[in-house]
Amino acid sequence: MLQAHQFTAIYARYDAIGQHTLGLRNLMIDMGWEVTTFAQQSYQDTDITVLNYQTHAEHPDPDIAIYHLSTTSAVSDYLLELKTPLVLNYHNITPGMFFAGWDTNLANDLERARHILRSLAHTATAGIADSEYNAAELMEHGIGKIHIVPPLYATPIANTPSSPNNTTTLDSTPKLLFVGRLAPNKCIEALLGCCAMLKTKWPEVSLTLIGNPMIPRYTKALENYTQELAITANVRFLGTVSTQIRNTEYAAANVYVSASKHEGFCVPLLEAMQMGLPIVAHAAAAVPETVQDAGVLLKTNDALCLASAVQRVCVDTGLRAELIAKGHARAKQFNSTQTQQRMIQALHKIAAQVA
Amino acid sequence: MQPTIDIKQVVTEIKAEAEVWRATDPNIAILEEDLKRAWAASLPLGVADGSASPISSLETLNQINVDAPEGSRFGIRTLKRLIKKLTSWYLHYVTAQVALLGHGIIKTFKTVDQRLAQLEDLSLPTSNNSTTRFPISAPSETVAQAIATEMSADKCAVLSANSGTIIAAIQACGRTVYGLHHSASQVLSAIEQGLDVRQDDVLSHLNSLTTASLQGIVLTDVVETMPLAAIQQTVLQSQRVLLPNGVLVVAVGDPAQRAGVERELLANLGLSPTAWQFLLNQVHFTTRSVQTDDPRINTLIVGIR
Repeated sequence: MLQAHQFTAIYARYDAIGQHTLGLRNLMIDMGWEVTTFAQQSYQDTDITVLNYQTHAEHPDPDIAIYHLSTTSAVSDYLLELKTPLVLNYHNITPGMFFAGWDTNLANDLERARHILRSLAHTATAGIADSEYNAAELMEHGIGKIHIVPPLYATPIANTPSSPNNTTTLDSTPKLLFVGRLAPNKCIEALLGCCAMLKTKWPEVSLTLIGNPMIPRYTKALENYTQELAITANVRFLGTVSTQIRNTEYAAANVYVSASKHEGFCVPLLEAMQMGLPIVAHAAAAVPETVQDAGVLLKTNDALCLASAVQRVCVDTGLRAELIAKGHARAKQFNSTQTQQRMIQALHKIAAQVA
Repeated sequence: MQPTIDIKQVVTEIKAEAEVWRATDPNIAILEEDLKRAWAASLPLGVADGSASPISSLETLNQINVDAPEGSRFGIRTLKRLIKKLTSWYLHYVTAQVALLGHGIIKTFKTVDQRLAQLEDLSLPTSNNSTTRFPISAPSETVAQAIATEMSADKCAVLSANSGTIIAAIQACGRTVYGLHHSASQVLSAIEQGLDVRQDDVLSHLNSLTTASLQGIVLTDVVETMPLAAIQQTVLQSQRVLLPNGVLVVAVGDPAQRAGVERELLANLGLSPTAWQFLLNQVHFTTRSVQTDDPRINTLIVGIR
């Protein structure tokens, strides 16, 4: 029986990487592997046993170590010393420059994580990447064998009926939704600008922002900006919400917007497509790869362009219907069965390589 | 089957629609400026607006776009003049600062250059130079006696002393005198005769002496084979070291009278008594020449500071 140890910096059940870690664990167990999961930090509500990585030395050496890399962590330093064949499951590291000035410590940590990625890449046996975009980064760092497998997230909205707004249009007011961390690389300010632009035509326009306000200075600046633009009545900062509330917001919105400059995969885009929400997004990083032609992708995140695109999606019935249909089709390509099959194939190849 | 929509075409149309929106709705251009200003105002200290460089921000922020009310021409002209004046003042201020900085840098470089030149001069080859090691005949008793006669001052130095003949002659006149020589054997020999001779180089020794510390200096022996630059430095240092009315006696052979091997090996080294006199005059010594009966050193140059 092949023994695999999974490592992650933080294990949180509802976090995208947490879900992927859990999905991968279950998949490997189904394949007959013996799996143990280690983390630097794990939350109490975990439904699986997650051990502290510092206890790893007490366990016998596994056949393979899989590291879910997305940020800096002491786990990275530990794995650099480990002799076991290492597989890097790369979820992308946001470049630190986006956080310069906002959170210097985080910016430094992220840059350090990228530095560690280079070191780990030299020792890694193989890589697993969420997207072509992430794979290109791994390849750049010298990993030759890379398997591209989308995240194994057990989407809680997979079987949720589509939004009631997804077919009817509209002269109704644009109801914009964004899901993701409130981080500078997501350019939330551009979404607020878009909202202000749309307000000149639809005074009742709304923008709902769901996600962890991870940088207090950035969150404060966004709140100030909202006040300056006099759109406080139009914008809702919901923070981290339960799955149920998130599903409700997906259903209530009629356009999903993203102005992000850096995404390694962007699971919320997938969720939006599943929910039948047309997407208007900035075509940056891995966003074009994830969405393909199932959304309106702009080369800029300029507020006026975003607003113009939202307006078009809201008033053009034919376009809206087509985006919804293409979104559903695209989302199906990421259904759990297909993704799991791809992961199983990748794991078999890695096992053969290690053997 | 319904024809599919070309999304790329739609994106192109959206861009065009955005331009039309901007062109037809005057509020949009104002709102775009407001967005930039409001975001800049919302940024905390230490965060740069990543949307544009400071230069491009200036280019957009300075676009004054208002409907000028009637009768406002005078006010606008005044404002325009004020801006011109401020710009002019600011440019003058900046250029003055840059000029000052440039001046400071040049001054610093000049000072450094001068210091280096001084160091360069001080590190000129002295009598240690191998070319000066050509054996020079000791001055005759006649020359030594003539020098002692001219050296009326007490507290004298003979640079350099050779076999000590000159020191002995001056000492015999009851004056305090010491000498230098680079050769340890010569120094030892002189000490054995009861003479005060120390091992040192002429220029190094002169450099080490305090200003106005000697009443008399005799320049002879190794100075005959010094290069011009070292001779000039020796003259300058001698002038510094001598007290007012101090006596400087130069006792050298004329290079023109060198013969055979000596002439070839010491080519371009040493100066004639006439040239020495010229140099002393240049640094304000009052000079005269004294004839001797010696066939080699037949002229002494005596300079009073």
